[in-house]
Amino acid sequence: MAISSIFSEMGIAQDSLPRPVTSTYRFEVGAANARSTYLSPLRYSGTLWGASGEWMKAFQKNPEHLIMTFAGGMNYRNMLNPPHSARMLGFDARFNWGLAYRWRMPNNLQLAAGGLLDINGGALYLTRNGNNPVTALASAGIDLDLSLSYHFKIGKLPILITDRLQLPVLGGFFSPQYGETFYEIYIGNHKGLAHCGWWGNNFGVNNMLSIKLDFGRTAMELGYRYDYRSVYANHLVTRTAVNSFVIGVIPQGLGLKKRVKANYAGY
Amino acid sequence: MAKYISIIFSTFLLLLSACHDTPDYKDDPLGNFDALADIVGQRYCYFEEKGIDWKAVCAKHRAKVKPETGQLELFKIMSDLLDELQDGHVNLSSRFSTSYYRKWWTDYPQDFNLRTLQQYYLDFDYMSVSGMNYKMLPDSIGYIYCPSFSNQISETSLDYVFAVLYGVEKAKGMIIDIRNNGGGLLTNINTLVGRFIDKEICGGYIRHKTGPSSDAFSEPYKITFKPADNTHVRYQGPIIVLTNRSCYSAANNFVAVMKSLPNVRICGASTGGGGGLPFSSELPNGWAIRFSACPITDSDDKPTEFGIDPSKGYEVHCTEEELAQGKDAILDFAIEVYRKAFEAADKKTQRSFNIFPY
Repeated sequence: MAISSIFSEMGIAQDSLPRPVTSTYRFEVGAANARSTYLSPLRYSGTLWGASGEWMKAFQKNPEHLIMTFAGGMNYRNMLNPPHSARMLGFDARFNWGLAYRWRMPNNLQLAAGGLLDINGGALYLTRNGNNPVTALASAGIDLDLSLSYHFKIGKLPILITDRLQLPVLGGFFSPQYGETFYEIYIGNHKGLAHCGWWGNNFGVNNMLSIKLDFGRTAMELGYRYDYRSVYANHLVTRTAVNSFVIGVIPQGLGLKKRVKANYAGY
Repeated sequence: MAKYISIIFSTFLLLLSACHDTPDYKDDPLGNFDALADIVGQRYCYFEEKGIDWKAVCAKHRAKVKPETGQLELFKIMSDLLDELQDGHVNLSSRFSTSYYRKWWTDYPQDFNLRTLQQYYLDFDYMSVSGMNYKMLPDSIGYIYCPSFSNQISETSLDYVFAVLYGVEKAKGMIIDIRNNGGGLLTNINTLVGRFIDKEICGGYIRHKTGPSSDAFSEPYKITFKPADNTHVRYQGPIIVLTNRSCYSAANNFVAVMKSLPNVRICGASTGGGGGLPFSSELPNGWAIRFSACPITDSDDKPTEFGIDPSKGYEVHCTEEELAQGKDAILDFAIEVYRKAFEAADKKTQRSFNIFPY
């Protein structure tokens, strides 16, 4: 039975229910690869370490259906070229704020769709290059945010499986000109650096499949994340991909055990 | 499950991003040669100025590469190919060697001997800071020797150099000797030139490739130099810059900018050039390649790749015999210019003078 129906039967107005914040703190490690033709024609591969946090809350205006999300995270990549003769380092940080509409469906399924305002900043640094040492990973835009969740129990342990997909749709990103050095940018030539992004020149997908184990007072998350970005501008291609294992903790739990009547955002 | 999702997404991505292919070269002798030929062919900036038919040159050298060609031999073939560019900014770096094109200076007289300078003119007694050696020469001439721009010249160090020479020792003229300076950081040029100007100037132009085709260049972008702010010591008096063929890259650029100033004369031999800002890339076998990618021109938008000539009437050379005997003809010439100017000034007002009337 849907939670909203339970509340209605009990005569509890949903707007008056508390709206706890569902916080998730994640650490991830995985395989990363990157190719930036501004730096090198070779594909670098190595490892990625990342840490992130996500805070979700039912939206005040329509807590049953609207979920507000704020997330931030950072990643560090350490990669080598195929002959292992040069090293590429990467660092990036991401912040996004979003609002999604959720549908509680039969059979313990929940579908959510919404949008994210997404800001990314970072760089790939090829340590042996001189005047073209860095590819900036800088973008801002609107992402499509989709998720499908299913919850069930094993014994008394509530479990939530979620697949969440984020796709950049429109935005802007930074790219130097084909043969432009950072010296020229440094002395003030900023022409042609900013670009409007759409799927034809700035495609990305961030998908995370996770399983959350709700112990009541706290919950644990295990997941797999696949993140891919492909940027094309000024005859330059930059592609990054990450396959990572994610472990997270949700300090207050997911609310699946229904300790408190509330509009939980997580499921 | 995760694997299947990854496969589904990868297929989806291929559909979307297939139109932006990136070249894949095999890591074998021919693959590496082709990668080098393409990288340089698409990004090098002086084919037209040097009259090089790159495709023809590559075809000539590619014929020497066989599938069984070893690394040493391949390195030699690639180095020979790159020598065709006649460019000191082009290097191929492997784990066992780095190639250089040296003829830009080996085919010319050196016109300089460091030992002669230090022993007979500086008496092995000079001050040093930020990679600059400086001393007050007889006749109140401030002398600065700057052998490299590889290390950053700090504003504070320059303040002290100028304060010692012009504040304490009351120098009346300046000689900046950059002979054998093979270049370094272009930002040092801004730091130095800012001390010699009192208003913003155009010091040259820079272009870059906008695409792989040989004629795809950006519009020239003006390189402006701003005077150092009032918290720093500035010098607006006469300056003679001493040069030889081994002045290259950033040093060449420094000469090009200084030559455009009315209170400066370039004395000695033509510089070695190196007007293209280098770009880096690499080959499938991991060897690094560096080459000129962004041409920098002078304030009249003329190329600087082939060197900067001395000012009119200031071309001077030093023979090996003279240098061995302790005579530096280029430095002597500059000192003599100042000496004559000071004598002429003494006869007139004992005050200000203009040693460069034209």
